[in-house]
Amino acid sequence: MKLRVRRDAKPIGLTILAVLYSLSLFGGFLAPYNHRSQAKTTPFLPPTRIHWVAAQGDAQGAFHLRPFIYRPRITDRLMFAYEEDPAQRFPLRFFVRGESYHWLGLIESSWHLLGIEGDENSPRLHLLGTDNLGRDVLARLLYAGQISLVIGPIGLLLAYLLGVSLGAISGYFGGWLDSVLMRAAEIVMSLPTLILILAFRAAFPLSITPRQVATMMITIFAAVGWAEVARLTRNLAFAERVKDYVTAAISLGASNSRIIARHIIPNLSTPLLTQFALTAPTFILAEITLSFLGVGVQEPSASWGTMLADAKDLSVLKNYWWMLVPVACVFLTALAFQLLGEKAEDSAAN
Amino acid sequence: MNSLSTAIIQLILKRLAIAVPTLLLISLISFALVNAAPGDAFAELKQDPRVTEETVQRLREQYGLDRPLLARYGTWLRGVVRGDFGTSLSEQLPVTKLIGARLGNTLKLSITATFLALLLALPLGALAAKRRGSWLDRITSACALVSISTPRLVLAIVALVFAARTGLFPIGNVRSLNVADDWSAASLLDGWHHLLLPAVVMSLPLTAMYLRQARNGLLEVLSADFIRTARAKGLSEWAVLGKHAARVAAGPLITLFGYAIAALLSGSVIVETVMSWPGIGQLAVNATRTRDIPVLMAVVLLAAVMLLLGNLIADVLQLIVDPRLRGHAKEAQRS
Repeated sequence: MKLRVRRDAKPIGLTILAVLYSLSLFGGFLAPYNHRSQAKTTPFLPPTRIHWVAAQGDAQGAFHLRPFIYRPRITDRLMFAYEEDPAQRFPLRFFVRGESYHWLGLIESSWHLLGIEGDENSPRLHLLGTDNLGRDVLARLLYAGQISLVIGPIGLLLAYLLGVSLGAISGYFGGWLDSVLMRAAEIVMSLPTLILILAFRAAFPLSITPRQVATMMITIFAAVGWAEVARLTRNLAFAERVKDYVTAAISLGASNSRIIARHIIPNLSTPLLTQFALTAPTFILAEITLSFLGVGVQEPSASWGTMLADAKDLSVLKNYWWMLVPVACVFLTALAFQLLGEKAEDSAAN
Repeated sequence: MNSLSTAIIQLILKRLAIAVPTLLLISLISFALVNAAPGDAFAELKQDPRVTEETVQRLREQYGLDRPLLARYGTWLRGVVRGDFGTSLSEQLPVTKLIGARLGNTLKLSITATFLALLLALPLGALAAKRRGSWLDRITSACALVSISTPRLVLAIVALVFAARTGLFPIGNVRSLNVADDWSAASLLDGWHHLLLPAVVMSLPLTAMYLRQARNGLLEVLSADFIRTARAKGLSEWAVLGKHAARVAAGPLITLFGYAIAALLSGSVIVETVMSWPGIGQLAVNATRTRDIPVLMAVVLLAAVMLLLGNLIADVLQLIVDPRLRGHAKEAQRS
């Protein structure tokens, strides 16, 4: 089957996004450990190898239906190199009880999809290795997704609430209100976004709690994002207000606020939704970038941006490739949104 | 005076008249925002038991942080008009000096990137349009899609991994420590060696953008009547593409070029920070971290000026390329 890039772009984009969002939504369950728990004896542990065939002993070469792992043994304390100790097998189990987590920050649970049988002394199953503090990279990746995939869109949603109402009012009434609002929007838009965001960021103290960080970022995104939405809505509403259904509503004696809220805005929903999907990745990336630059999400909380900041170190880049997995997540997210927004026209590439 | 230069001068004057109040407003808003925050550059100092309350107070007075907002804005503005952007709070150096030292690096990076992008995108785009549907067209389209959807952050980190693993490229800074800063061959070569990787990272998304626009723009133009006329006249394919089609297809490309200048600072923030390139973007990030307000204000202003300048350059180029616009400008003037 030949893949037709343009035609299949939308479903592929949607599928990637659905997978990314549901993986991070169920991150606590899917990852074998909590994103904060540290295995201090095994920093920079490479991804745990899963075996089916025994490596040593009297049963060497024997096949086991249930996969198992070996205990890692540190061989180089300076560079953190490990080897497996094949003395004892530790079988994998599905649906095990382990470290507790909060699903959606509400429901506490300790069920995990995968895990290792045994007590605290049995080796840990790190499918994507561990970071400098021995934390499970997979758990952090999924947990960080909950932040990185959500903060941007919420900020954008707020920007839409603000922008759509201001834009609709501006376009409907026109006059001096229109010129003042649109002039303000133009000024906000006439600044390079990232520099503006940095300037906004400087207005908040440097070290703040995770909740404050989220609030701050959402506020910043709304403050920066409303302008473009307002302008778009204004132009759409401006064209809409001379249409027959608006005239009909006016002659029926509907109030201005009712016409705007119940007649005009619902009619603009399609272009506004399209624009939302097109702008969402910019805001997701803005959060990741801010966190990467050290002015967004902070430890012990995690974002794909902070994880990338941890991986930026030269020795990490050279030696511990699994620390770079967030790069793939960021790329996939951006690609998915790009595919979603890809125009159906121009099929020359097919 | 011919109509072209009149139109250009009119445009510049009109833009200047808008630019001054816009810049004033932008600076006032950002000044109020940045200064409205609780705490300032010396707030962290207070935590230090060795620093007395009086010292912090004296520092505040010295830097004028104890005065009301509007008064401070007035002082700042008077300084800016005279070319004085104040003193950096964290580096104890004049802001102009800090910016001046780094502006050159940022410009070097972005001009090289733009040049690389145009050099690659225009011929490839033209070829892709001419041989539409060929393997070349498919490959360039796919590459363009991937590089447009790859965030610069990802590109920069991938480049960093490449440099770290292969050791082919130096990481960070504009030149090696043991190489003198002069015009000798060794120094130039070393400079280029440092520049190449960040410039490629900067230029990839630009290349993709230009390539797409060049290809689609040309395709649109090539189906126009005047191209058929040109071909029917028996003009060579080169003359048709290079002279007739290119002129019309250049319009949107120039607009993109203007956007690129405008977005230059935003784009360089990430590349410069990841790849340790000592430019304006890195300065802006450091200033945010240390809440160095004078530096931040200067960068915001610089970014706004770049944006206005980018739009102006794009519009002037547009006037030069497309004679139809000159007439419109006059009509707009009359009405």
